[in-house]
Amino acid sequence: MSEDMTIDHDGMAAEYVLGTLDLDERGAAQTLLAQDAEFAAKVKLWERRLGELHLMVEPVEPEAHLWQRIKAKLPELPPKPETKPEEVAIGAQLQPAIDFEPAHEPEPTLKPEVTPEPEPEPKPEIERNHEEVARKTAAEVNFESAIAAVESALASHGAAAAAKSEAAKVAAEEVPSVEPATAPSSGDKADRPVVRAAPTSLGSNLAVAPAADAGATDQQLRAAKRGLAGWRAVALLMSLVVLMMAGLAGLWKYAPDRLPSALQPVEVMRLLGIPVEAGVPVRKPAPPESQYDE
Amino acid sequence: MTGSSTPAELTWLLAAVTQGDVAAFERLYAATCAKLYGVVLRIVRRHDLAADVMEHAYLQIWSTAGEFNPAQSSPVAWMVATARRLAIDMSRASAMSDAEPEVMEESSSPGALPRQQLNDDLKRLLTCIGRLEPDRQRMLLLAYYGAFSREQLSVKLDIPVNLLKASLRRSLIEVQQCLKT
Repeated sequence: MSEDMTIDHDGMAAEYVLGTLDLDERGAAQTLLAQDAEFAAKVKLWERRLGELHLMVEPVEPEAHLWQRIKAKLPELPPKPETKPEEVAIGAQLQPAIDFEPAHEPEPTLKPEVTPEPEPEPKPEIERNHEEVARKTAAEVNFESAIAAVESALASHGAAAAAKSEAAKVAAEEVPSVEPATAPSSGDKADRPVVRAAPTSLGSNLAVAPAADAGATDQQLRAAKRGLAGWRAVALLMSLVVLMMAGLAGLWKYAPDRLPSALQPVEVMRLLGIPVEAGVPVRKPAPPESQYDE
Repeated sequence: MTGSSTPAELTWLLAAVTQGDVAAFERLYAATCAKLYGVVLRIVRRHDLAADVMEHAYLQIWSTAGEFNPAQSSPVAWMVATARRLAIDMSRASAMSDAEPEVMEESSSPGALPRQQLNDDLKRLLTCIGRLEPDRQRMLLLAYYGAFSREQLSVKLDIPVNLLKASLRRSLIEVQQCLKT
């Protein structure tokens, strides 16, 4: 129970920062933010983790009047005059190395569903150098890939139609058993305009969410069972076919005369387009007698 | 823009703001407003709403400047985080209250910056994001820059919401794990 709660909080904090929570979930997250220091710390960490992504966004000048608007609403004095500018500035200069260093993360982080790879055995020097180079190249490849993804995400912003089919395909591959059960509902959603999507989650969304999850799991289970039944039928059919083929082969070998003419080896071979020389005896000729002479 | 102001300068300005220095605040605004506006506009997608968010964001920055910790993040990242939070709230609220179409054209969406401006933290983050499958990279980044709700994203990407949620959370976990190593 408590572990479930922690896991949920980790995911919630991450999604709160990412910006994918709906109105009600955001409300719940903000309540937590005010009450739960641990949750607030998780949010801060995620803001630091993703914070530098803003560097990729092109600046846009706001209307010139905006500053006047803000200045007019400034309260007389800010509430917390505690640090002197010089001190903070010096502090910043002294600590550039710790800047955005998530090494001392305090949180009991999410248990990944993906199990981490086991520690590799110590490798000989040369091999390790090779691996170093390989890893560096892989990092560069990953980096380039992400840059392309950023550019794509920034460019297509609203309409993600290009990635649509691909993403759907990947998602389907990831959880194959869900596909048949959820395919119709995804069709429904695709038809619904974006703005109307939000109101459906109005009301006690928090209470509804676990139930919906359970429903989804149930559906997945049923779909999986249906899939399994199908595969059993196919396996049974294939076994029957193999058995019949084996039977036929046995008859060909040991009692070809008892077969109906349509199943005689010559007929079958002709049917398959294998030329059969006229006069070749259907039956394997008896071994020469000389074999038994001695 | 921010290019002309170093993090140290912005940190100094933020510290001055805690003393009630309006002139410093004006300089801080001038140095950062275009960046914040670019981020906010992507999320709320309407200039009038973006201006409202900017007003709230800078008033909040004015009153909470003392909470900024230069050991934890860059000044701009801290300010962007504040603005993003308010922009996402606005985006969710406006989606509920009115169904006005987005006034921003897709084509007028601001683009990406040249990569010379990337710092080490961002390079590290992008390398980790790049380890995800391409579709999940894009899903995550689209979620971040547009701050779409899961419902909106599921419509955009044509993925059932429960799959999208699972996929997003898995991506976040993997990025988190990767950043630790």
